Amino acid sequence: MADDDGFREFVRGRLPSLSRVAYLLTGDHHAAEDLVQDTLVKVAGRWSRVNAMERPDAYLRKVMYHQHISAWRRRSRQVGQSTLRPGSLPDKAAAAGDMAEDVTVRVLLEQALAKLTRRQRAVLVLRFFEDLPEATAAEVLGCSVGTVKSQTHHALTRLRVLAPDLADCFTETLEAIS
Amino acid sequence: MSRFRALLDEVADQANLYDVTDRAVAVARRRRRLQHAIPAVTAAVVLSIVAATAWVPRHHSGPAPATGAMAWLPEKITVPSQAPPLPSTPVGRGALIYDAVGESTASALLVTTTGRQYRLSDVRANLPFIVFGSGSLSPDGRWLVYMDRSGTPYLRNLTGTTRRALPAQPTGLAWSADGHWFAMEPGPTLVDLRTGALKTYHLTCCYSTNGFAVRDDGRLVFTNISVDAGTSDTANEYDVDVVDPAVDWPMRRSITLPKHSPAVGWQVAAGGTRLLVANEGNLTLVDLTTMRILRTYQVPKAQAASPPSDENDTWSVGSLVPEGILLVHKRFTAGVVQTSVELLNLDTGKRRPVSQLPPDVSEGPVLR
Repeated sequence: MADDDGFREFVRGRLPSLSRVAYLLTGDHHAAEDLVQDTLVKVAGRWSRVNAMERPDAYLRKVMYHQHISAWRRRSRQVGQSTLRPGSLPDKAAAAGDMAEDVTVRVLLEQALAKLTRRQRAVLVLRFFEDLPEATAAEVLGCSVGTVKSQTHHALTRLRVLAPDLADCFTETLEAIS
Repeated sequence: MSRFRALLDEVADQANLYDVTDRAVAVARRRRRLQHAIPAVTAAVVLSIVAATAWVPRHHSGPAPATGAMAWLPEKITVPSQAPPLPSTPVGRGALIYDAVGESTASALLVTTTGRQYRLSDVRANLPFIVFGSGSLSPDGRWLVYMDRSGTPYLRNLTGTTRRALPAQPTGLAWSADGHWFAMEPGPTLVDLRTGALKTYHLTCCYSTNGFAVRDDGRLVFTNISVDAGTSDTANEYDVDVVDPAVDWPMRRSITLPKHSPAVGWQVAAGGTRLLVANEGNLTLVDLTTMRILRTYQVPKAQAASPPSDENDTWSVGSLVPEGILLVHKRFTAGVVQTSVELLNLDTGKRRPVSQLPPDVSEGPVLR
């Protein structure tokens, strides 16, 4: 029981950021909730060992990314509704002002992210949302730093093709890391 | 803050607070209780009887035959200009499923052993995001699980006309090697493919995060990493639970595998008698009836140029077939993905290409 209370306490403060990362990884509320639950079940089952670790946060993060990449659900994926082509930002968005344009840009990014592989998407979230250095991202994903570098590069290059309207943003990011 | 980071923040802002802590604690508690429960005398007797019989191999699980011609897998696959939807009439056995991204639609395409292609599902441009799996093929290519455009999962006989809706969206699925059983999570649900009988169980003893399979006798196999890369630098420990779903009491055995490099994937072969663990740079094949390592194979690591360039190669496990291990080789070049299927010979460890897929396959392919 004390173990469970400790686990709850541990999760409480981290749930908002876990939820945000899960949504970024999956792009879908149901899948994100499943991912959070699978992760917490796994960590709760080994809580006494996890709690004794030097960095339980790192373990929690690792479990979540591994769950995301390795489960059967890797065969499922989110599919954007349409192929994104240059100039595909709807005219309506421009007419409706900045807010509508912001929404459109976000949706474009979500659609493009949905077409990346799970590992590419995970690399982007680790590097640019969680702001982790390449070495830490490699440790989380259980791969080499070189793989993180190349996956990041390919993911950004692919995003540039998938969402040409946001190409400047990806090019800027590519330049910043090279 | 970079613009990309700001955009990711905006996407993350769409998240809800997924407070599933109570559910997670309840599941974990139940599993702990089961693990630590001291069985009553009668249960112990039952357990010992099960123990005496559970691990007796029912079928010969000797070495797979040497690499033969992969006659069922078309050598080259191209995206048809217009693939017809899967008809309700027999189409023949399936070979693989892949996702092709077209001009206005993204479709999952079924390729049969004769090379014919059928559209399994598509997404209309004005629909919101839809999550669906590409599907799964039985080892003999006769049965297909797929989801139609409304997201309803179906089990379909490709050599006949039988089609039945499944009770839930599968979060895990498996086929027995002899084509007798189809099993899926949640539940699990077990379908006798010979009679069509479907039964859903509510197991409390087992779950799977790293492999789910069904044996020819209908028992389920759950594979989990009990000690993983997060807690050990030298070895991964795997728990293998074999359970008769009607009994809901697992036989657990464990195996420790040397951690040559970080584990990147796991797969239990159809039939649940072999486990394949993929590490960066090697594959370890384990016989789950004897819990012994059969062999470790070297495979190329993801070949990343350093500094990163526009070219990169990756390999992942497609499936275990009698002829060997099918690997999916993806070559990334300037944002375009070239995908091919390679066969790794179990005797020699050598790879050879067996099928070339069209460019820009977004996920998969899913091989039988």
